[in-house]
Amino acid sequence: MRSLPAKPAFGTCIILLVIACALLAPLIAPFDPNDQDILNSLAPPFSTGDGGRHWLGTDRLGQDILSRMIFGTRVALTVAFGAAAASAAIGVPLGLAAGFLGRAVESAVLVLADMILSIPFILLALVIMSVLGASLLNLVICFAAVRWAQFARVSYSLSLELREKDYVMACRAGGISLGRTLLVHVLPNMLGPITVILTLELAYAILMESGLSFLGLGAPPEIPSWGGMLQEGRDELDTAWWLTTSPGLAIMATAIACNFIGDWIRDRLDPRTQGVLR
Amino acid sequence: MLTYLIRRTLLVSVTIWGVMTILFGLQHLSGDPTLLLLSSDATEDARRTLANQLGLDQPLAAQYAAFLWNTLTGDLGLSWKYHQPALRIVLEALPATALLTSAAIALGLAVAVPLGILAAVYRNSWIDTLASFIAVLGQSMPVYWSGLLLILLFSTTLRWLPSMGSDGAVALVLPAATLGLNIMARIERITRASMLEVLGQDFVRTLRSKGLSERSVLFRHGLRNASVPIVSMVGLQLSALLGGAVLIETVFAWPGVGRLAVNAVYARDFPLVHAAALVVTLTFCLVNMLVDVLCASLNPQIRLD
Amino acid sequence: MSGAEPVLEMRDVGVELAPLGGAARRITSDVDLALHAGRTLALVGESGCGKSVTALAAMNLLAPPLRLGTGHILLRTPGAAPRDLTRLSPAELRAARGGQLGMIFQDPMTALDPAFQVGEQIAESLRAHLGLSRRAAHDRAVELLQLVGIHEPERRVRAYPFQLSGGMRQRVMIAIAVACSPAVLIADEPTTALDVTVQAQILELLRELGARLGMATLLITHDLGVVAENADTVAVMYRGRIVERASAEALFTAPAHPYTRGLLASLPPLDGPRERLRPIPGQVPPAGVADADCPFVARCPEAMPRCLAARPALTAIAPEHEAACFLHATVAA
Repeated sequence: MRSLPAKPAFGTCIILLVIACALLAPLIAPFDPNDQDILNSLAPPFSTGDGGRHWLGTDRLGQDILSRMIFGTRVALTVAFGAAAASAAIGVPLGLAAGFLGRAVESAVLVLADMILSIPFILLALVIMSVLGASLLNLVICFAAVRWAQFARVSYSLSLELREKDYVMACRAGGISLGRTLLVHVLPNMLGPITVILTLELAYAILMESGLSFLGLGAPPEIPSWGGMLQEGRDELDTAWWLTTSPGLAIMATAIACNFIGDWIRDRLDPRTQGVLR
Repeated sequence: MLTYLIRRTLLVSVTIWGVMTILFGLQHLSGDPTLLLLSSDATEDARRTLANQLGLDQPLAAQYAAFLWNTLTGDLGLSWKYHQPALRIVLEALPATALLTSAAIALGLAVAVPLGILAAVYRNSWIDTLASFIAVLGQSMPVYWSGLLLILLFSTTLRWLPSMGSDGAVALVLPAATLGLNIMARIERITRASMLEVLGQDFVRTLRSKGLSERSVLFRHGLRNASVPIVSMVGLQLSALLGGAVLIETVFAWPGVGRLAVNAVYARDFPLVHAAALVVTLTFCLVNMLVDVLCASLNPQIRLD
Repeated sequence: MSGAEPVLEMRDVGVELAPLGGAARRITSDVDLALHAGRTLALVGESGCGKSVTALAAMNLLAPPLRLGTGHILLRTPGAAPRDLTRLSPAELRAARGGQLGMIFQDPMTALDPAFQVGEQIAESLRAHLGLSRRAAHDRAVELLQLVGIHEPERRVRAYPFQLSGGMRQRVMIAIAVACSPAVLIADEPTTALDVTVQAQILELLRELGARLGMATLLITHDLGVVAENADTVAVMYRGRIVERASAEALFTAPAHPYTRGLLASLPPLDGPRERLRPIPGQVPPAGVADADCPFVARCPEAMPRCLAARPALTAIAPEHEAACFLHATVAA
């Protein structure tokens, strides 16, 4: 963000930590995340249960919060990376097409994108998820079906600028095919801004996925997820604060990390492209 | 101005048509609603009668045509759950959502704009750092989680404010604060950036040479010149705001369109889902038109066309 | 130069450039100027010599990274004790700016607030300083627009700056500056950004207003042609210091400092055969004052060894004529 290299460094550390947790979950989690221990339900942090200490307490079924948090990284990362990558894979080509294939394609893509972005994401996603059913793959599909519009808009704005550039016009005038021009001269020049959108979209996906899980239409209940944990903790708010604190912090920290990295990259881009990202 | 209105109205119509088509498609992807509406031991006859009542035995194209025509005439059918006109149920819930979101916008602006101005004036000072810290928090906290935290603090622990319902102004405080905190971040940042740009311009020196007070320089002239990006940002944030309302209304049991929509989705009450989506999308489009007009009136050099 | 006490007096003013986290650097030094009621003092010099900064300093309007390093700015208005602008409270300073001190900026395209009607921009000064009502301020703004020669002032009062031409905007700027009948008018290159034909009209207007309102005017310019027609006295600035000060007549008939002579020689002659212009050789060194030698020595055709050894002070060489040059040191002694 503003001149502090500590921020992207902090962001990178958090993301690496989350990735490490996701990869090493079975090794570092002290308990099986789905191991129920009804006798030890709603145990506060630092209490001791069967087979070890519950550092972050247990939930209503006596499941270890820390272990569920660690396994929850898998949902967060799978959905976030899957969603961002799939949205970009659909949105960027459509944005380019809108920029380079003439008025008809341009209007069609832009109107469609505006249309989709004029429904609040969570509402549309709710309907989609209720139709498709709660699963990780369906979450990714749902994100891709909506969030491509964001990538399409940005890559369209970028291609408007790029298509006026001398080297792009020279390619077109010189008879180089459109596909080749886009691949060799346009796309590489869009990578910076697209990366920024990707990182910001990671944060968005993590927040929204947990929101959907919170509403019960995100990750299926048997898979530990941060949003699902928040939802379970909601009913115990006045008796067991630790149910909601850890997953909330984890979601926030991951989202901050992605935003820090994204902002840092953006501040390093050409000032003119920064305008497109506002 | 007239061409602008015509063009925008056309665009809004296309948007509404598209949104309703998407929802129509999703409804038909979700399977046979009669299985859901009737108990499992209902006879085949009863099922067929219901399908006939709902027009589900018609060919898809005919159903689509009827659906669009009904949408156009404002008739979205009876809610499958409440057996009342779906649109009326949604419109009855609309004031609660309007109140919640406008309170959130007002609160967000009331905090974020002064904070953004201070951050711009005292650039790189501790105020700037604090403002950017608040911005990051607001942007990165899941809105329902900050809602839960506020409930934990103000109603469970301190017992100052109610955590649920819509009784009076006190009940509005927590949900509006939660939602306001969520949109504060971007408003603060755009205010800071746009104030920095304005304060760097030559005319600010003229204002000071006229002996105007710093308050007048910053708020009357500075803010007026910086207002167009801020207002546009509020318009852009509207979608996030309405989406946040869906979650917040659920957390706080606020009887608005968002909670209604969530419950309608749970119950697969498609007429109600359609009505909610229609009203929300229309609100979004109309408010954004309003934002455009407002921007044009704030900056005499902007022309609508 | 005049019997009466000056309305605005700058004493020993030195402006510093203090970038954030960098060392402060002096931009101007030892600037003494005196403005008298009804008279115009022109401050002349090339771009970057520190004249605009001096204008801002006269209003105590320097903003970071610029700041006033040394000196005092004394304002003497009738019926009030002399006040030092550098010692006033923010509120007193605001009352003086716009009230007793009016300023016109170089570029009327950017100096007016684009989001406000020009009438409002005039009126708010009246309301702030004279406590006029909204209605009265509006009416007065129309009169002021008339005063500065804008046709159809009732209509133009509602115009936004972008709807006016450059010359009209500068007239509006002047209306703002003189709105509260200030004792002092500071005009920083008021015609530089305008078309040549408009320049003459604006200068004519300034001259007329100065006489009518009895203002003491500081005219900042790089254009000696403007000086000849408008100024009573002239101060020539080079690299942040005043190198010569004289009545306009004396300066043009008997320039004393080699830099002034160079400036005059580089002017195209008004009559007689057109010959090649003679620019002063060399370039203006970067901003910042030097103390060790004469600031002009590197470009001076008459440089002497002692010019490298010490800096000549501004000394009287004739009545009402001062120059900072060793060529005249003996004359003065």
